Amino acid sequence: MALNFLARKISRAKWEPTPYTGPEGIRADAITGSCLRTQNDTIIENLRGRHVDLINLTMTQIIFLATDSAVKIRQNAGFYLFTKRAVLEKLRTAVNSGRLTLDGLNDKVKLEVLNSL
Amino acid sequence: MSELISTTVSAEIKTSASEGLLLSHPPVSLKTSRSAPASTDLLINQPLDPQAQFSMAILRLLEVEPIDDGYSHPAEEVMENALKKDKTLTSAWIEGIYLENFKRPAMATGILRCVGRLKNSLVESSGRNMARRGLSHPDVEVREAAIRALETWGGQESVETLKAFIDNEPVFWLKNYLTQVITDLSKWH
Repeated sequence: MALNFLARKISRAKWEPTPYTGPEGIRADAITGSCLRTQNDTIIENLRGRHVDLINLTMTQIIFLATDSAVKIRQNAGFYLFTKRAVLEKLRTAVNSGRLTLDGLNDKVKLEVLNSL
Repeated sequence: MSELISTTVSAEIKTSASEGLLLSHPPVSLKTSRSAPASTDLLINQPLDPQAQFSMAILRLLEVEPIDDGYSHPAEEVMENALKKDKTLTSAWIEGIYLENFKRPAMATGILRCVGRLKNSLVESSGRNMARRGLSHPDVEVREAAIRALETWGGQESVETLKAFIDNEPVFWLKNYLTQVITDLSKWH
């Protein structure tokens, strides 16, 4: 299956070059943290089939992925930062359209969404 | 305070943290200290005072487990439980740990991210002081954590703090994010 795009949640700050990584180096924890944490717990049903499990990647593949991602991220391309407000808006829209039920959310998030409805 | 090198996850601390029993935690064994050779493992048999136990638990939990969005962190739970028991004392302890570890970006970020997830009513001025200080940190990750904490707490105070800082933010994407946060918070409040 051709992969048009792959969406992962990253911590943008971890992709910044540092004095110890040099301009092209990549911090190990940029890719070993939440970026690779994976679990098919997608709560929107019609997106569940699109989940790509990254847990079986080899080190070679991870390095390729990280190197490719770092170039784009550092050019400020291909990544989007969503504020809390923007995320809530998206959740609210999904709830209102019936794509998402509040029961699928953890209690903290559920409360925030309820307050924003 | 010497820096601890933690090579193993302490199951006892993790259990205590998740059960909120930290303040009555038994004496803790420290494996190694960077200031001492690894062969001279330090074993503390004397019970530590509650503040030292609290500090050690927070730092260890932050060392052994990364903080991920969408997942609560055990250190966050320890802080919350302790704050509910004694807000004034615990706030001072947390701020103390933060200041002691301010030059360790990973730790400063971890502490700020945990504090930033707690209710504004729990962390109050102490949390805001920590975030304000974090905004001027040389490490971008700490600054990001500080912005996110203020974003979560919201309110006019956050808006004013972020506005006062925006011209000093050197990183393009973070400055954009900061601008968006200010816009969002201003609309909300």
